[in-house]
Amino acid sequence: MRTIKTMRTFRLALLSSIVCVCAQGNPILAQAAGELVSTDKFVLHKPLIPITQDFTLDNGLRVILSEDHCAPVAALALVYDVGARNERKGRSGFAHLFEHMMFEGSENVAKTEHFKYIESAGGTLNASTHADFTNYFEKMPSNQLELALWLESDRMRSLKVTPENFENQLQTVKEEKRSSIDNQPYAPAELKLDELAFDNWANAHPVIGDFQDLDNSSIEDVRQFFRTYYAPNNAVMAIVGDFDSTAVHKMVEKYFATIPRQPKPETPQVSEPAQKAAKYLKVEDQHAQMPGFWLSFKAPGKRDPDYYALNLLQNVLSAGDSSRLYQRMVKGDQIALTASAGYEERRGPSVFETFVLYKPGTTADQAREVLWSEINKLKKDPVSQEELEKAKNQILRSLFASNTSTSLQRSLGRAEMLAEYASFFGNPSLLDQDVDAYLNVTAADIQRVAGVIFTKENSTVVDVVPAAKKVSLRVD
Amino acid sequence: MHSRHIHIHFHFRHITVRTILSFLVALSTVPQAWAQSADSAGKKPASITVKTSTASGAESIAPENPSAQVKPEQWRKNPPTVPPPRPFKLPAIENYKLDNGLSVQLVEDHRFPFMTMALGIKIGSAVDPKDKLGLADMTAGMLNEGTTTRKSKEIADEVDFIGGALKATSDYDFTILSGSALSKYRDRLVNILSEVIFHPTFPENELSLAKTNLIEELAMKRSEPDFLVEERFNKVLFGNHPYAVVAPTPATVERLTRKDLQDFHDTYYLPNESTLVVVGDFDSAKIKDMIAGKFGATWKSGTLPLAETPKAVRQDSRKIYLVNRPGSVQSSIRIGNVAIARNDPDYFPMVVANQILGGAAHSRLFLNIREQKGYTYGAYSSVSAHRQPGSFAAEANVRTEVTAASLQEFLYELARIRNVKVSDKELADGKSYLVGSFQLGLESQSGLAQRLLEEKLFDLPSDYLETYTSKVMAVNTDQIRAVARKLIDENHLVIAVVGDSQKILPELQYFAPVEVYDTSGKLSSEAPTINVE
Repeated sequence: MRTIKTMRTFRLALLSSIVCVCAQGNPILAQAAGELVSTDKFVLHKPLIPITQDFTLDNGLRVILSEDHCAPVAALALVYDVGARNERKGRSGFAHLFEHMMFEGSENVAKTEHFKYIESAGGTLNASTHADFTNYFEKMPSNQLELALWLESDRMRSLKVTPENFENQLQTVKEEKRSSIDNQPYAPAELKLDELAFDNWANAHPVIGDFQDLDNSSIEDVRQFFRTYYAPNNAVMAIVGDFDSTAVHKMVEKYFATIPRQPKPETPQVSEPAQKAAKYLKVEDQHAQMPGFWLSFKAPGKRDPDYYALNLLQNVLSAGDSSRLYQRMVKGDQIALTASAGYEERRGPSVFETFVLYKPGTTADQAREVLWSEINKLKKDPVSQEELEKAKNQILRSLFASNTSTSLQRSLGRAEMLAEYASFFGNPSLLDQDVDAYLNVTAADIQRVAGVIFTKENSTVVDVVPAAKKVSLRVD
Repeated sequence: MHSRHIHIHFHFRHITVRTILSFLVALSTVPQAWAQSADSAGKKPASITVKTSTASGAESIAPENPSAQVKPEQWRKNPPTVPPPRPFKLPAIENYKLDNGLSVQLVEDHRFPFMTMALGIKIGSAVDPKDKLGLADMTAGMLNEGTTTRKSKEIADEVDFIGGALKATSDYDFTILSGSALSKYRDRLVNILSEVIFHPTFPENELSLAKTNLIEELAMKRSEPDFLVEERFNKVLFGNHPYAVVAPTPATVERLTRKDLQDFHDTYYLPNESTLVVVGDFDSAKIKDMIAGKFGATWKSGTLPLAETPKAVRQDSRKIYLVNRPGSVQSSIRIGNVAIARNDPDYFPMVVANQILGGAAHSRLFLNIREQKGYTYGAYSSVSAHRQPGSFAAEANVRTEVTAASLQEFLYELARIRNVKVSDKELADGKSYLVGSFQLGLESQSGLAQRLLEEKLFDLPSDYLETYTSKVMAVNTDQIRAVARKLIDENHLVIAVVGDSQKILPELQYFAPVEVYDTSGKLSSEAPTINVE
């Protein structure tokens, strides 16, 4: 039955045998050719994402190349080590606004032409701003790769910021906030969740920022931000697809080598104190029709020792219709329309959230009591071996299914994972180790981590109550 | 739940034509990427001048270029010349038919230990009785909720354990059951998929819960502007035709019985004209055996009902249908008319025309309403070519204060593409984007499966995939203008707007007569206070 749950995704890559049955190309792993005929054996071949070259220019730009000649496609991901956590108070939303400015033109590329060049070359492109990084990426027919290098290098070296473009994108960002947050039920309350759960402003404030701060920002702020963070020594670029590494290495040198490095930016201070007492907030929502709440907990960051068990815990609670929260709250007690869990993992201190929309006839306290009882079960008893294996299979699914953010089927997914691992942890091949770490988690690990994380003292609750009168359901 | 931390820049419309994209929902576990696409329609900027800041007169020459120390490198002036594209080849597709009419398409792909399946049936919500709207979709959704051998939880346990997904959904014309799993468990996937399609029992208690929850979800939808604007738009456009229905009502959902679902399933889930697609890590010989066993002789063919041909709902004139959503900080605008069916001979020129107008970031609507004016996060257009003529629609969510100004820009762009030939560059860009998207989309198992389903369910020629690229590339600028005049019914546009009536009604009256509704769908007694000549 369809539900309103979201499936959580995992920052992992599990690339099994990249045996390429290509009509025209060569298999990229000659040694795996023997496994062309599929058997019932499930074999994980490492490296999960084969790396053909990994080099760093003199100016500090690290470049990772992974050849794959199965399809005439090339995907490029460029990660800059800057996010909302780098912003200073009074300038929230800046990293995201800056991401918009990156499409507004550089010395040799006029405003909007970045989109046009890639799309008219038959490619697609996007960018995203996070609490802990910003990435830019494009996917295109493989013969167009040099175009992408020209575009990315031009804006890295010579972004042009005019008052006109700045004003235009300021408006656009405001419309983005209105469209995806202000005009939607539950979204504004969700921003308040992080603001409350985190103590350190660097972690707590929303990526989208605050209108007042955006209005107070100036062009000089933008230019300063660019100088500080958009430097080659603060970036990692990964390219996956159908190209020749030797040729691309030369191209990268040509386009990027003359971009000067900048002083290394300050490392943001993101530590969080241990939480000693439960936090609570009630929010009235103008657009919500049903009441709901978040129950969240402070959690460790990516690749922390407990990170792997926590991701499996998330699966046990919330992945698929057989998951604990769905079965108890939606199907069993039937008190919730939706009940889900999500590990909002970051490079530093993170949060683990649960979200419930409860039905008429149930109160917030009653729904929370049921939710807590399910959480407490995981602290009291280890999960069964079957459930553990199921949770691990869901991890594998996130890597091999077609449309997850960590899908190895997608060349862009692979490029992003390479660039992010290299940027965050200095090693693009950590995916291999992560797989093992996941598969080695025991039921005892899960139980222990649940005990550490899921405590009342460590909890934050945000209740959302509809402010509007419930809309009558009659439709002509 | 929003993926809060990821403020992805773009709102990405994969294809401008809504076919059965949404059906492979079970295979998709990531929220839609937000893509920003801008298309500056061939406007060459004048030489970049340094703007002075008017606020602080002292700053006479503000350096625009933050990296002032970078020496200009003349060789960067123009984009690089690139080599010709590498040949694009479709994977090998094995195509055959069972005696009962079921079409089967197999594509082996051993790069990943994963398998994707989809069963498409040519029946959808268009056959829902008017008093039982939601029947087709509820039948599809309930397949997982119990079979003759397994309860709902057992099915869920099985699907989740094999690292899989299994979901059926319906749209107007089709029902798609899609499943996927780690290929190690491929036999179990085939088994569970065939079990739910052939032996569902629609248990009473599960149906009761599903109905209750759906009714709650419908209530929630009434606070979502995107839903409200589509609802009003379709209602006006299609009148009594089934395509008018965007969602069932609580009353019609309440009426659904176990027997209704069972009858619907037994009557309509037939092999003739249905299609089974399997892509991924499997052995063809073994899979064919399984398919013959599960989907062959035991599945009897029958007679599918004929589709009703809609009466063209002729709009008298241009009119605005305003759904009042008090406190709305944006207005959701949707403008359009009834357009084409999927098998229309003008399909490809229409798709290209739509791409130029509003398909992505390089398109006119985005460049104008967002990049130039800053009114919106994104403005697009789309053609929904169903088995029968669907809608053409241009849309955006705009700041409340610029609702009228935005509407003016929409009307300008809709007229312009009808009257003035598009430039060669715009045509080339539009075509290139479509061809690229098509090819890039085939990279994943679900992307390929979707295209294979599309070919069969819409009865497209068997060389559809092979000739897609050449058909797009063949479109010329004269054709664009000609089909734009058919695609966009300028004088009879339906304009649906969801927003704060108090703020926008006075401005909208100048465009066309306005009818006001509340969010429950009730026509409001609120009438415009002035008659605008």
